[in-house]
Amino acid sequence: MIIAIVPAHNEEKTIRNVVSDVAKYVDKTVVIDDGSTDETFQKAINRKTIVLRHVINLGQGAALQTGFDYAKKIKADIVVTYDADGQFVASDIPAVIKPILTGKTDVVLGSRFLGRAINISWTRRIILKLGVMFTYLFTNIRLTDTHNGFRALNQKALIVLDLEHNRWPHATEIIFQLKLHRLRILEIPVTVRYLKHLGQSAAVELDTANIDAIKIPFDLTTRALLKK
Amino acid sequence: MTTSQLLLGSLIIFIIYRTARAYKNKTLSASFIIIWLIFWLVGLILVIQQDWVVRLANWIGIGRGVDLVIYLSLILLYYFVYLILIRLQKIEDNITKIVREQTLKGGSGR
Repeated sequence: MIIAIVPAHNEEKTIRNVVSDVAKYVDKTVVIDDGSTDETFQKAINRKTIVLRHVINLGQGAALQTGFDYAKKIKADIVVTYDADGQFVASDIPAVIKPILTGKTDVVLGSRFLGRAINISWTRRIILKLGVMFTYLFTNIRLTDTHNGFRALNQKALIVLDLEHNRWPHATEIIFQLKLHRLRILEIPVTVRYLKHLGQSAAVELDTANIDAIKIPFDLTTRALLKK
Repeated sequence: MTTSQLLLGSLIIFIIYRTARAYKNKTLSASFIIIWLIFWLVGLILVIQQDWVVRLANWIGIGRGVDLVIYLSLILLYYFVYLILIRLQKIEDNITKIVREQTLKGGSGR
């Protein structure tokens, strides 16, 4: 069974289209409504979708882990993680899943820098490149795009992943844990669209995302140091 | 007695008074009260006997007694911040656990 996990926080403008697009390529779509205060929960519900709800906003990492736990429970064979803001193109899903189906790899990471990053701002590009450098320092794995929510995992990877970081650093943590368990990772080109009509590219939201990204090294380091 | 000694001494006596009241109202644990009182009593003695601080500072290799007090205070403050961060992290982890468990028990649209 192939399932898609879609973490969503206040994505009422895009969630309906996202789940109906994704549903064409997977057996089941699981939306994790991460404490949204808008209509995301109601709009995500359809025949092929399961909607799980966090009563408060915990962050994308926490929503993903809830999705992973659910996927383990229903014994999913392949999990695709997919953002709810409409940035991705659902028709990329078959290409992302294929290397897992053929046994070539355990995990596929989507890369907008191997594929296309439409309308990406220069600030975002720089921040993402810094993220790539930081992830390399932290994990010693050379990748082209580390903070891309488009991924596919097989059951082996699903079982070992146990995310502790609720917010942005989870992307680096995923790579770190995959490396720790010696899982095979492959990057595949995907398209990421930064389009205004998707309701995602208001300057303020991007600024917030950039500030959050800058906090990643701090959050990763403090948790590592404070861990008992 | 200098004015600074008088001011600092009064402040410490006020803190000791508040601590004693907290003990009477049973809002603090006995072990915490003991450590807290020892800490402030030592502080009070050092405020009155400033020569001791100067001698200790010189012995360690710091020029002035007040510098030693500032360095020690900073170390203590960093330690307290560290303890608070650990506690915050634990609280966040627990909240996540509770929310996740509740979510997985009671999802909708199935």
